[in-house]
Amino acid sequence: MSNQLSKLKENVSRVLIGKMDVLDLMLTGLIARGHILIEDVPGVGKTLMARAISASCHMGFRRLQCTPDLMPTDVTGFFTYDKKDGAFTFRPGPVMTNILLVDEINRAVPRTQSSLLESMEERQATVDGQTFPLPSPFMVMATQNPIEMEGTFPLPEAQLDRFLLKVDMGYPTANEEEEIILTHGKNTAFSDIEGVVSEKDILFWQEEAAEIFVHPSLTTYMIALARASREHPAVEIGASPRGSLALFRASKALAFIRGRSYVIPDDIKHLAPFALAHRLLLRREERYRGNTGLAVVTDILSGTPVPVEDDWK
Amino acid sequence: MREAPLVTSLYTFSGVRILAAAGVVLLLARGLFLPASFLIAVLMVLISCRLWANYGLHKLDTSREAQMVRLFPGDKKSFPVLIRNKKLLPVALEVWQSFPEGLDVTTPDQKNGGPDGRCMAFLGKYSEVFLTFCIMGLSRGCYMIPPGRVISKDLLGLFSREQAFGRSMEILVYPALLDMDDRDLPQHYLIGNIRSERPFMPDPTRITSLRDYTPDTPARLIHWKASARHGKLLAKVLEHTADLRLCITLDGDNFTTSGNSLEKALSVAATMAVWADRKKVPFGLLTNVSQCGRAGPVSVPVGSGPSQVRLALEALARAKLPVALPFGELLRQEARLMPWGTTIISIRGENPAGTLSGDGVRIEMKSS
Repeated sequence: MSNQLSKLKENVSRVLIGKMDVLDLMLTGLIARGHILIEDVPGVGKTLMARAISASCHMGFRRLQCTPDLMPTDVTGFFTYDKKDGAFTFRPGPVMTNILLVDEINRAVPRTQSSLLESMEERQATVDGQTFPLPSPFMVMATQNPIEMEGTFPLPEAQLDRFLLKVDMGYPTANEEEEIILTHGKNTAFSDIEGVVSEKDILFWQEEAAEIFVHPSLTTYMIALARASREHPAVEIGASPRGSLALFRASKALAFIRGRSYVIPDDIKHLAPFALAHRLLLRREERYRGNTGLAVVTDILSGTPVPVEDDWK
Repeated sequence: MREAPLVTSLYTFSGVRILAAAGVVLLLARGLFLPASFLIAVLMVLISCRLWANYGLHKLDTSREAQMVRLFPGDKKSFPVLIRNKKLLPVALEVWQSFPEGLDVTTPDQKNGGPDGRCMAFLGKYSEVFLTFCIMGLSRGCYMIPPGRVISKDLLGLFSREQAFGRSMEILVYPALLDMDDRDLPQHYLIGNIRSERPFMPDPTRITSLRDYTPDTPARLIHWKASARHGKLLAKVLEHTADLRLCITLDGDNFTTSGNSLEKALSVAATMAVWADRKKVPFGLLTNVSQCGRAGPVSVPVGSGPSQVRLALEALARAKLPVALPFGELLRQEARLMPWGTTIISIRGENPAGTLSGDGVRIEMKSS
C-alpha cells in the first residue's frame, strides 16, 4: 500500500515542486476523513496542489469558485420544475462529489459558507427539506488568501472548526522556484498528471488508518494539549473536543503515511500546530500585541510534558 | 558573531608576556633560580588565565528572542537569553544586554545584576543557563534593542574576550488606550453626525438572500427562477452599495513638539482604532507624522482584517515628529484610494474650550 501512496506523491510532485511536507498534510487530511483549509498569499500553488491531488485520484472532482454572489443553492443544488413530467427534479450542486475544491472560500458570503457546514460535518446536504447523502470518500479542500481585501468575509469560528487541518504553503526556496519556472514555463505540466489511485484505495487507506494503535498515554497527551489551550492566558476560546478528536485522527493518518502501525509523540507534536491553531480564538489584547494561534500552540507544546517510553509500559 | 579581545589589564598585551619570558631566560642565564622560578610561576598563571578566557567562548551557544515585541504601556514581557556551554571547560561569563531608555528592565538576578542589563553567570561543563530579563514598557515609542554581549573572563580578571549574540530587534510600545466613557465625545456621533447627500442604495448585483414576496415589493426584485422552483413568489434581498467605514486622521502639523498633546492625540487615535475593531467597523489610519524605522507618513488602508488594529497600533507606536509631508498633501494623495462613503475622523492639536478632553486634542468628523 505504501507503494501506491508513493506513486500518488510522485505523481503530484510532477507539478508541485517541493512542498512534500505540505503534501503529507494534505494526504493526512484525506486519509483521516477530514477537510483541509489552505491559506497563503496568492500564487504559491494552493489551487495547483488541490487540483493535482484530485487529478491523481480516480474520483469525482468539482471546483467551486467563490464569489460574493454565490448562493447556498449554488453549492448544494436545487429543485427545478420539469414541464414534461410536471414535477420538481433535483439538480445536484458541486458538493455532490468526492473531492470539492472550494477556491477562495472567504469571498463567499457567510450564509454560503455556512451551507457547507452540514456537508462537511455530516456528509449530507439538505435542500428544501430533503436530505441527500454525499458520496464517500468526501473531502473539502478550501483555499483562502490571508490578505484582507474588499469583498472578503472571514470564516466564522464554527466553520473553521470543521477543518481538520489548516495548512500554510509558504514560499519555495530559490532552487525550487527555479524548477517551478522550468516545469511550468511550458504550460503543459498539468497534462502529465494521471489518476494513479482509485476511490477504493482511498477508502481502504481510511479503514487501515483508523486501526492504527494509539497508546492511552498519547491520548492523554492530546487531551492535555487541548485542555491547555483552553487555560492559556492568551486564549479567549480554546480548542473544542472536536479539536482533540481531529488531532487524534490526524495523528493516526500521519503514522499510516509514515509507514507505522502506531502513533508516536512526534506525530502529535508535528500536527498540533496545524490541527489546533486555527481553532483558537485569542483575546483581543493578545491579537493587538501580535500574538497568534500558532505561537500559542508552540508555547503549549513546549510546556506540556511529552509521554516517554516509561509511560508506555 | 564577532569576537574581540578586551584590554582589561597590562597583561592583555602580548608584549608584556614576551618581556616576562625574556626576563626568565635572563635570570636563568645569570643563575638566579629562585626569582626565575617565581617569574615562571607567574607566567604559567598568566598563560592559563589567557587560555581560559580565550577558550571560554569556544563551543558556547548564545541565543535570545529575535521577534519584534509589542507592548502596551505598563505591560511586562520576559526576555530570555539562553547560554549553553558545550565543552568540558567551565566558564565565568558576564552577560551584557543594553536596553534603551523608556523601558524598565529587571535583570535575572538583581543581586548580581545592575540596572544596565549586566549580569554574571558561571557555567560548569556541559551546562546551560537561562537569563531572563523582564522588560516593562513605560512610554510609547519604538525601541531598538542592540545585540547582546557575552564576555568570558578568567578568575583573576586579567583577560577577557567578548562575543556579540543575537540581532538588533525592535520593541514597540503602543500608545496608552483611553477609557471611552471618560471622554466627553458623544459616542452616538462617533460615526459622523452629517448625513451623506447620497444615501446608501441597494446593489442589484449583490443578492444576499431571498424572502417571501410582499405586495409593496417592486416587481424587479422578484427572483423568478427561485419563485418557479418553490412554487411561490420570492423576492431578492440586496446588499447596500456602501458600508460604514472610518478613516482616523491625525494632523501632525498642529503639534510643534513631541509633547504631551501629541501623545494624547496618538492615544485618542489608538483608542478609536480599538473601538472600531470591537464594533467590527472597517477603519483606516492616516497621519502625516514620520515613522521610526520606516520611511514616509503613516497610511493604513481602510479594512477590517484581524491584523488591522495591530498595524494601526504599530504605526502609532512608531509615530514621531517632524511631519513627513503636509497633511493637506497627504489627504489629497490618499483620498483617491479611500472607499466611497468613508467617514473621516480628524484628530487635531487644538484646544478650544469644551472640546474632547482638555488635553490639547480636538476631534472632528466628516462624511466624505
